[in-house]
Amino acid sequence: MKYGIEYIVKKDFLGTIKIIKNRSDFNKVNENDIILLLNTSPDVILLFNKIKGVIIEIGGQTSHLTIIARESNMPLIRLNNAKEIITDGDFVKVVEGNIYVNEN
Amino acid sequence: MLMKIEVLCKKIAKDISIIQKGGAIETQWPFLTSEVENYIGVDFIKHLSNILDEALLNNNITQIATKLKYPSMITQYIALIHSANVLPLNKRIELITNLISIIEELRMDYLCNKGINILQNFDISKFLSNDIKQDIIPQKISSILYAYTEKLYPTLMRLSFEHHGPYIFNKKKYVVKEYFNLKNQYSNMFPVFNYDNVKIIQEIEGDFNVDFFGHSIGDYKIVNSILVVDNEIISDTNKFLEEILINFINLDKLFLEYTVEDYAKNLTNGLFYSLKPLTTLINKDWVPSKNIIAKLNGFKLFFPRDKIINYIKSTDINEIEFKVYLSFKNIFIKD
Repeated sequence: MKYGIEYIVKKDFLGTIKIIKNRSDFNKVNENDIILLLNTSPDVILLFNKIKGVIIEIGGQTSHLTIIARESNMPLIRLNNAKEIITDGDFVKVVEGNIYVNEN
Repeated sequence: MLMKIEVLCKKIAKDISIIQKGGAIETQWPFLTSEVENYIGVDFIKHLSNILDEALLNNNITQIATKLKYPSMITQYIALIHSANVLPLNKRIELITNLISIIEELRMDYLCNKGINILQNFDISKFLSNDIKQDIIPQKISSILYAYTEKLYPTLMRLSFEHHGPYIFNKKKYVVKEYFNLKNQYSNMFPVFNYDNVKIIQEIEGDFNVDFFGHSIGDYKIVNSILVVDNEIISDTNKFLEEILINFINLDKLFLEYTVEDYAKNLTNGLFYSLKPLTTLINKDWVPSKNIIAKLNGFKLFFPRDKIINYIKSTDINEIEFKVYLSFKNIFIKD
């Protein structure tokens, strides 16, 4: 399935989704994963060496996460209703303003 | 002056509504920072008013501004201004007038409306005489320090960073991400650094701006970065990256064990610590009263958090902005 996204820190990426509801979910993140953040606290920077991209449902150009991601060159996109569209383990590809979920 | 206050109220309302709509309220744990702000705000505003009065007996606004050095230290006070209702109307207007004057002294575009949020006391030329080599590490350092200060936000507010610029030098555009008070944090509970001031100076392309509360915004690309620690340009940037990361991890561990009471007490200490440059100026060491500390023991949440979050989510940004604006403005027109 294909959905429109908004780039916040612009760069395309692809990988397997891990949904982060809170701090205890950090442990399940593997190398090269993409995370869907449901709570955008600064702690997430601890995952930046591992992951390839971040998806959020809320937040924008002034949010703290945006500032942190921009400095770290970490791709960041917003997808409305993301948690209804993607689930843990989905493979996603972000290309040219769209996200493709479980499509080769 | 009332016109100036009105313009300020509009600007604050706009930036606060954008921040709130961006999900900031939703992500604050374990409470909305503003809960504690209200709890201790009355005492804080009385102290601030008294300290400024006393400082102005022997100093002018320029001297006070020089002592404070960074506009963000004052913009945070203004966010607490709701508590100014405890003062008579003439004192409220006098207080906000003084705060506006101080910010005007420090920041060229004091409301951050025109995209030239440069510090009037900052000379970028002395840092840019050497060739800047491309280095990604200073950016990462800035990112972690930003996360560090935001992690402290519920307790220190935004006292310890200032993003400013853009500065034009040799036809290139530069911005500065500055972090200060790193050596002398207000609480011995937090990890401190071996140096006090870190500046990451970045050559950028595109649009850069800062909102009234210090969030850097805009669609810009970082071309080059240099690291300046305690006013010295640093070439071995990796060493600093490691130390800063370790401090962030240690701070993060500390916060995992925090209780609501811990947050409340540290926010109180942090707020009063932010007045330190002024208390030093008048040679009086103000500390939170025993009364406040007593009140904070057994602190209970009292705002309907879910209700507020739902309201913000379901309300148009213009309506939120208008309500915040009215709420601020009313402080200065009603007694």
